[in-house]
Amino acid sequence: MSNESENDLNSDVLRLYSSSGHEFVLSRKMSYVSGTIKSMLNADNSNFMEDKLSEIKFREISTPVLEKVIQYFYFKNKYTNSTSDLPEFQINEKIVVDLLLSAHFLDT
Amino acid sequence: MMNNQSASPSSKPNSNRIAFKHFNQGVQIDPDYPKRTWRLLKTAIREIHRQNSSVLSFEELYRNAYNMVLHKYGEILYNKLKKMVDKHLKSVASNVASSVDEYFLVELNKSWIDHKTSMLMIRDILMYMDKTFLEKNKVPTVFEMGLHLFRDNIARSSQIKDRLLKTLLSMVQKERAGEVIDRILIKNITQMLIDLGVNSKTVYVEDFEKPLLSTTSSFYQGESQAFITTCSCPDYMKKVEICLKEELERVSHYLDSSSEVKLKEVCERQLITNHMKTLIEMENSGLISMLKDDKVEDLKRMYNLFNRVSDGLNTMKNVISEYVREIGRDIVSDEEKAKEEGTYFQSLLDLKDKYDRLLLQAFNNDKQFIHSIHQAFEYFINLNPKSPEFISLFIDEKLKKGLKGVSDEEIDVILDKILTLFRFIQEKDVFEKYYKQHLAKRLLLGRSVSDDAERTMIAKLKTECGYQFTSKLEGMFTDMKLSVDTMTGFRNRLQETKKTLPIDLNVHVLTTGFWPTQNTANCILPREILQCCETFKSYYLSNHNGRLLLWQTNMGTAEIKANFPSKTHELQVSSYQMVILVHFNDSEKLTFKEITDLTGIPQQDLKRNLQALTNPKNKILEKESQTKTIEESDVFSFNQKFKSKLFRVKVMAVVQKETNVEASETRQKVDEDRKHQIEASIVRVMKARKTMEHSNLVSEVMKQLQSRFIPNPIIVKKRIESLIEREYLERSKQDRKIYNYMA
Repeated sequence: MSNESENDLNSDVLRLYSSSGHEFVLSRKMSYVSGTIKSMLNADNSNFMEDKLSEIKFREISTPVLEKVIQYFYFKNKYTNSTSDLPEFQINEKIVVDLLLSAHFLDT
Repeated sequence: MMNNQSASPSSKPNSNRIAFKHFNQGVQIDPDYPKRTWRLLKTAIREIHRQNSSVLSFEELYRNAYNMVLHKYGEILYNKLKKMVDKHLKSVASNVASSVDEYFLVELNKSWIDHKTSMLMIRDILMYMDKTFLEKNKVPTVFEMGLHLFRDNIARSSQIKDRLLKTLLSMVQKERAGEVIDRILIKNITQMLIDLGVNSKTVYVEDFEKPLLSTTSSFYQGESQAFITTCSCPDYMKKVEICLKEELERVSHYLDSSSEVKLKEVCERQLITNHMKTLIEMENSGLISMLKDDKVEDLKRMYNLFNRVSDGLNTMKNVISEYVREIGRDIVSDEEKAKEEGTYFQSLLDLKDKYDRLLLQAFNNDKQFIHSIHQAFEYFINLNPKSPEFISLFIDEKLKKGLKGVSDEEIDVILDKILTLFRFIQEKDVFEKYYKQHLAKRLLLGRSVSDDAERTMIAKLKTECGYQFTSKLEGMFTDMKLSVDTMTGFRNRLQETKKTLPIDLNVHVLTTGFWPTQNTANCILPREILQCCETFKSYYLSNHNGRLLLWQTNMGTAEIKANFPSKTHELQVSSYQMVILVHFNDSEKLTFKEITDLTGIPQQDLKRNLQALTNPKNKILEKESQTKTIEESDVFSFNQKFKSKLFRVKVMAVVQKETNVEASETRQKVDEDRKHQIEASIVRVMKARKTMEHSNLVSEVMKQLQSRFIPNPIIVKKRIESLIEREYLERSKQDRKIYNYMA
């Protein structure tokens, strides 16, 4: 993983699309919080479309949920192995259920 | 999974349930759903098998598979996948099987790599199934299933399995014959076999390793047969070393490391174990001749090789020990005839040196070897009952002249070496007897080269055998020192009283018990000397009242002036010789008989001393008959023609070889001493234990005395009986075998 990020810093950009077509741009590394995304992009010898294009279209994830998911990626990355106190991760009650389902889907 | 509690939405279980219900209901309406989804996945997998995955959307496939499993179609998905991969592999198998020999392995390897890749991809897509469905249903994961299918369809298919094995074995064979082969390819294939075993190595072991071992075994059986008939032992061993090294390299290059032990064992059995005897006994180059010729390198090689197999060193050890015994026996019995004590012992020392060196350089100082060689030495040294005497004589020799101009360290080394041999001697008390005699002679005749060396030797004996052993020897040294003091006192007294003695007298006062007791057959001393002796005696007894002073004339030395027609010489002679010569002052000729009567010297000693005086080198007396030995009929006269370049003439005492009579005397003394020691030991034991059973007592006594000599049980028994007679012990009334101590 570290190899990859060193080798092609340019391709360390990942685009995620929500079901309604909203584009989110983030670092690949951040997305590895999701087991699903990680294997989509990082499987040693496969190269699926997603890996080639560095973009993933989530047909079943809505914009607010995907946004929250990406927020969580950054949240997780920031506080994993950190010694500072853990702030609360704010979640809008309306999207709780969908977020849960998406989290399951994404293996997060 | 979200593992962050505060952030996880799962803290609201209520809404969860509702959501799932709703979600499920939505899709279950469509009865065609599983079929449709499978079709989609099937096409995708086909693409993957074609290595065409880049057109596929992982998200789509994953989502579909995810949903399928979520809606309890996992089993259908799993089985369909299995069938599909199975079918695919069957076609791959026929493809591999149809390839020509050279490309067979390459093709196989390629299909293996492809299969692995596709299975990994499929696994990723079906990740959700692996996670949820399999756990519940206890079936192998997708990837493992792929391995099983590959194993059954390809690696173990009838078309491929045997061919694969044959090809691999022929590759190994080719390499053994010196050809270069594609090691990496073979490494990959063996790795494949290992992977196919999933979590064990059964596939590798069953399909490849076992046949490999058996071919290896038969290969080296043939090879070793060929080697052993054509090569000498060292050459054979070199070959074996190379073979073993090659096999090990083979393991590291393309076999699994678990094979190393097994392969090694097979090779070692064929190359070493099966030929051990032949190798050792090989004529002109086997173990014995290596020992004979000091082939350190070869011996080391043999040791290292034999060390690999069980019982190898044992066999080797036994042969060496047997050989050492044989050589030792030869030395011991052969040199005895030659009666050359010095060389006898020197050759033993050389032998010991040689084997110590071999042990160090070739045998890695192996404890077993050291032990067995020591045992061999112990065995043959004790074969010769004269060994204790010879050791003492050897030390005597060294201390008398052998150590001149040798540094202290070297003396130390030599003495240490002697001690190592001394350790093997069982009859240490016999040694003590002789050592005492020899030491006494050295001290009294002033023959010892270095006082320090003497003391080091005694210190060494002390550490070896304990205080008791050397206390008397040390007493002898003390006597010598006291005598010097006594003599200064005596001389001072003479000056004070203005007395002068006709001769310069030097007396050593020796404590009885410390010194070897000699038969005090006194000779008749000349008047002048007697007078001196009396003076000394009165002086000594005035200082030490109540002591008994006896003169040991057989141990003294004298310096006398002799006027020969040519020149005046000073003769250094023993007291006996002096006594004999003094009588020639009065008469020209004396017969043997007359000398005996005049001097009173015992015949044995007289003969010995006359021999020394008539010795062609320093011919002080003329003997009428020409025989070499002294006969009782001989007549002696003063040799007028005596000539010597030196002013001082040292008359060499004839080396006193122990006569048979003396030897048996010494023996008797030793036996007598032993009796006391045994009795003392018995009493010691019994005093501590009060009651004891016969055999226990005997073994305890043996243990106590071991360091000095090995007592004969029969003698021990006799001593016990004698102690019972003298009422130190009694037999128990209940059991005749048990003794009680009587205080």
